[in-house]
Amino acid sequence: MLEFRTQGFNGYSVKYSPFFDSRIAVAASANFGLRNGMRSSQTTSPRLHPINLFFRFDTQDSLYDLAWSEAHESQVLCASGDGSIKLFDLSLSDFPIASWQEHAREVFSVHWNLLTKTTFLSSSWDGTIKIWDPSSSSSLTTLPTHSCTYSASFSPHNPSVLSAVSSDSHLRVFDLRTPASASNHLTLSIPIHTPPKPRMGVPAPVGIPPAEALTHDWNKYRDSVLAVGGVDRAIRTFDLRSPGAGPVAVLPGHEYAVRRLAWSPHLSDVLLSASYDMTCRVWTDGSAVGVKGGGEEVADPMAFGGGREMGRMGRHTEFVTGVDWCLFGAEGWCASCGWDERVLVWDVRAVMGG
Amino acid sequence: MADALCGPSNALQSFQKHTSVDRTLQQDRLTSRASSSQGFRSGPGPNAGILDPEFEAFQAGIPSAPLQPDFQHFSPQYSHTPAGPGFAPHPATSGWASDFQRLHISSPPPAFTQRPAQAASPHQASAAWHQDFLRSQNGAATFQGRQTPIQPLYGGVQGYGLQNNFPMYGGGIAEQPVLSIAQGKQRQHEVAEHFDEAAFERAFDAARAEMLEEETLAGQEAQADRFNHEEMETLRHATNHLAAQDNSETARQLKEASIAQYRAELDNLRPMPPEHFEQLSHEAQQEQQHEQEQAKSRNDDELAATAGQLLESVSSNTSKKFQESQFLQLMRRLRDREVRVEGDKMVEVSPTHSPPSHSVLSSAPTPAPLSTAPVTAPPMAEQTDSRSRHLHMPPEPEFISCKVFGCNNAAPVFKAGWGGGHNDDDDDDYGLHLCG
Repeated sequence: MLEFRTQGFNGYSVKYSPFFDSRIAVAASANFGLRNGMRSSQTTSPRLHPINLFFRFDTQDSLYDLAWSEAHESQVLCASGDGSIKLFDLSLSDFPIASWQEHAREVFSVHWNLLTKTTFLSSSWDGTIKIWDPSSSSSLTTLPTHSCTYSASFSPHNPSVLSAVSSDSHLRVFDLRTPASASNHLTLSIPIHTPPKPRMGVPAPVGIPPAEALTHDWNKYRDSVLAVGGVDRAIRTFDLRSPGAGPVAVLPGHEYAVRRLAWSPHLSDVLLSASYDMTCRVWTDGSAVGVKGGGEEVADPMAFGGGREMGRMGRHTEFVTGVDWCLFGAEGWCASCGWDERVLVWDVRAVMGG
Repeated sequence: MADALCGPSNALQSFQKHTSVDRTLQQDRLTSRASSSQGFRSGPGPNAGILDPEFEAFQAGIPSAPLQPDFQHFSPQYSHTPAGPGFAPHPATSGWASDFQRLHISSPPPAFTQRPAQAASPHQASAAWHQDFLRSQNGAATFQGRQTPIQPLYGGVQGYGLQNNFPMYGGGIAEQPVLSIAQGKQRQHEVAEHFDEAAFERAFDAARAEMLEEETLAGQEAQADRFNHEEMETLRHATNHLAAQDNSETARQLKEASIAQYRAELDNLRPMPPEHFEQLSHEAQQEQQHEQEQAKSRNDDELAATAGQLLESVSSNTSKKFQESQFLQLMRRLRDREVRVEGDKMVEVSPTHSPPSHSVLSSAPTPAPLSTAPVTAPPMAEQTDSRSRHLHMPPEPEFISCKVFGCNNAAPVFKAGWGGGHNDDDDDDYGLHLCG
């Protein structure tokens, strides 16, 4: 396990570079992201060596998320607390090479389109998702969600499909190919708190109150599967092919809200989560053949779908806010960051119970 | 229409879309509107024949007794017209002023519906500007006499041309420009030249004095507001720079600076007896400081309450990690008022130097745990030169609740349902999403 201290800055998001296996970017804020005097530092590091600060940008307001540019290996996009989105270039110091200011409230996520690579999106607490072209000074499209949108991302399988989860406990899917009619490209809106279908021999699940959804991620192999996490501590997976059927799997276990989720880039059923309970956990959603089992031990009444926790990492001493998988090398390496001012790079296989 | 929206389209099709639109409803509305406006111009109304001579008579100043019954017998739809009493003969109060009063030019609109009562006692409900005006005109007899033609003009026109087609215009003086343009402009000018200059000056002086008084008051309030704002700003900056400096010293400097500024601005505003000004300045100063202190303590209260709620929601967690969490430690200290927000920084509160509003609350918890907190250096409470020091920690409660716990609207109140219980009624979001 490797460690880097973002001295004075509480991490909010960490991302591996899609171009170099040795670079990690961290968005962090001083004072727990509360208010002024916040800076962001982005560190990039050579892997498997003591992590060195490679580059660092300071901003006036806190940063809540970042995304590496898919089109340029040295550019990083940052979501700022003052409603702006800034693009930094590692070859130019101090100042962003572009800044977009349209959101009225804190921008809480940014995501680059993985397929067309010419657009990115941002979601904000002002209840909108905006789609941008880095060469244009204003946004291309604005998609309203009418509630604080914590997380939005493009599908890794389709360049014009994007999804978002928001505080109204709904997972929304937009398809930009549909006409911009009254529905604003919205094609699906799935209530996350829908209980799963009743099972044989098990009492029907009671209604679950809606809870804010904080994070979600597209499965990298199954193009209709998403995982969603939020305030109600459970991780749920949904299949967009049957949006009315409720969650495919429910993975309870975190003691507090789930802050960040990431599907493994190597395994179609493995999921990594970061939570306010100061742990990172590795899950399988039970979809892989032969992974089943262990379902009988301490069956949580909430659990559904055969998924289970495979391991946890508890080295963080404050809330864990960001995780990301390394795309390169041996499968299982990942990075996590938290409010304890630390970035940890670790191997998931080391914490799996076996 | 529908097939133009979906499916392949060609130029002819889209042209057809434009031409084949059903516009009959629109056209209907247009034609009906045209006809009604025609009616407005040409329709004299059923009483036109009566009103014309009656209006003439009124303008000439002749009480037209015979016509009175006609007005009294108007159908209810005309009951709002102010003309009725205007034409009623009142020998006791002949003269334009009483007529004028009875016209209810400035009476509130509802009064028009109470026509009979108004006619019976015309002096009751007219406690409006024109009475003041009249009062200020006492002694200007010539003016009274000469102005006669103009005032009835208003009432007369109201009763005359407008009542049939535009009952909603019964409201009084509002249409004065219209009618003066339409009919009375010439005469009004003539009359206006005969205004008694002296009387007018007197009335104007009185009004001006009154307005000045109000203006002064308003000006003082505005001054106080701006002053308040500026000092808040300065204070914020000052606390940044002069953090280690004594608070009272800073406050005194600020006070002096702002007094000077205030004085200069007030002088610019208008000349004023110096002692009066001093008093005002002093009062404003005190008031503003008081408000500021109140706001500050309110902020602190909210912050402490927020932190307390947060801690409550994780209180069931007894794990070592949560006990040792720096963030939760900070929240604990916020709740217990061991630290306080000042500007952008976190400042330790030492019980001996806390302002009066804090003394009760901050004296309860002991300052002992200061040294245990990782964010703090050794306790500074005993030092006299630097009574407050920075911890580089967070600031105002709204940001505790909004950015970290993140409610949507900047309401500083931290909603109770931020944990597991979700508030559906508003879209508050909480950046910190613990589930208790």
